[in-house]
Amino acid sequence: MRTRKRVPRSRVLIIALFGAVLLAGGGLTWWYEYAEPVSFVAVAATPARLIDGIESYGRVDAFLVDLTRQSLEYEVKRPDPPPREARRPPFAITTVTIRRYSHLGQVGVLRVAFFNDRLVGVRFFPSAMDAYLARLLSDEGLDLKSQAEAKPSPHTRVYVATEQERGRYVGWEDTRLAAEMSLWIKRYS
Amino acid sequence: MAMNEQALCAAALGVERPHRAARSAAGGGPRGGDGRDRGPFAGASRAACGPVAGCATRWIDSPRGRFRPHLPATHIWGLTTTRPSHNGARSARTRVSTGPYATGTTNGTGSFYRARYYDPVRSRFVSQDPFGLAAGPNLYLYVGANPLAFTDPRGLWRWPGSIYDEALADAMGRFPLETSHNGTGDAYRHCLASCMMTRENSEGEAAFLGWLNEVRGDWLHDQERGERQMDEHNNAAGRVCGRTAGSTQDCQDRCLAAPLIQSYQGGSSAPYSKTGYYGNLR
Repeated sequence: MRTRKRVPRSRVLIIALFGAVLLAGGGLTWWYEYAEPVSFVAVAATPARLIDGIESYGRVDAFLVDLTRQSLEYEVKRPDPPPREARRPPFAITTVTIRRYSHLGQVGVLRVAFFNDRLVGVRFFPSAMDAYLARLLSDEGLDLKSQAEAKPSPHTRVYVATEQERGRYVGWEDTRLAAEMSLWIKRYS
Repeated sequence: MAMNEQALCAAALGVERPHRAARSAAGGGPRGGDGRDRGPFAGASRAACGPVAGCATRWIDSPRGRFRPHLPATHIWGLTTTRPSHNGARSARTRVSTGPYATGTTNGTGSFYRARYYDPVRSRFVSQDPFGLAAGPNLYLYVGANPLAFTDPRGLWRWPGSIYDEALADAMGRFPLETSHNGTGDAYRHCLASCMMTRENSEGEAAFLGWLNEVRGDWLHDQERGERQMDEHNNAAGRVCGRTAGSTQDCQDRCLAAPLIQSYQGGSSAPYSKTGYYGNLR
């Protein structure tokens, strides 16, 4: 009579452990990718108010019409269309740069960014940052001298940062769209 | 890869990787040099930590001063207990269950575990986490108050998600938003995250998680070959920078100076999933 060869217990344990790790990894990946479905193109019902009354979630074309009406010169940088369809949601950043924009008595460069045709935030590079920060405090009550950021409304974040090429700026952003953008990058980039 | 990995960061900065012995002498630990006191057994403790509580116990009155790692039997938060010796040779031993860190010295007010003082009576750290707010809003917690799931023998391990979040926020603030995917900001972010993870956790962890992220991109999102090559190059540059970086600021400076691949032409390369590693499997 032939006896069945027993598989060593250690080997069974190793295989079980490997399987458990694979299952856990697959589960975590699924949870990370699909547990929180985000369309990345949805428009919120209540936009956030940014610099000079500009509101988030605005469309590029509507924004350009406004600029033309105000006789402001601008440059538009649109993303190249994707060469092929990858299995991920769209990621298209369009920027509109206004070379001579005036806010609170300061002239500077204003760059407006759109994430999938929704206005996500603006960056203002004033010619004199200290004077501009002082005006922000006195006129709008935003203290960006003693703190790095302020939240004038539930979905608006105003902050001071430094861009590598252009220098210091004051940024306004809709926190919901900024979080969406971060989520896209973490998941798909 | 066209450029030697060691040269990715060092060539741009004139930085050479010091010999392990020299690093130990300078900083006392494997990643010394940032001025943090890691205690006398820094760098040698991980093997003494159990997978459950992340703890070792030691008999601190051993006649030859021996350090004997042993899984804790009583309290994962590190209570000091006294009990008779099993062989009766000594009347009692004071056992310190070194929950958070694998070695400690006691004084009248608490125990010093590598990076922080701990009060075993209150079961709490009485000094703040050396990572500050980056580790969470409560500065007195240990591994997010979850010692059953996490260990931190050096007192410096950091949740990778927190590192990625910090690198992402830095890259998005420092570069125009349109470069945050397959652009300058993307390259910098990959380098910075890898550098910070190498410095704060380990190079192996940075390499593994970076690789895992790219494999995930291949399998689930059909990313292009060029995209993966760009990310892997920049991750490698970050890891080299992280070996000798003394702070996050160091990582930022080095990644800004390192020769990173900052863009690739979309549509120029087929995805690995169809032609490369996995294509043959289908």
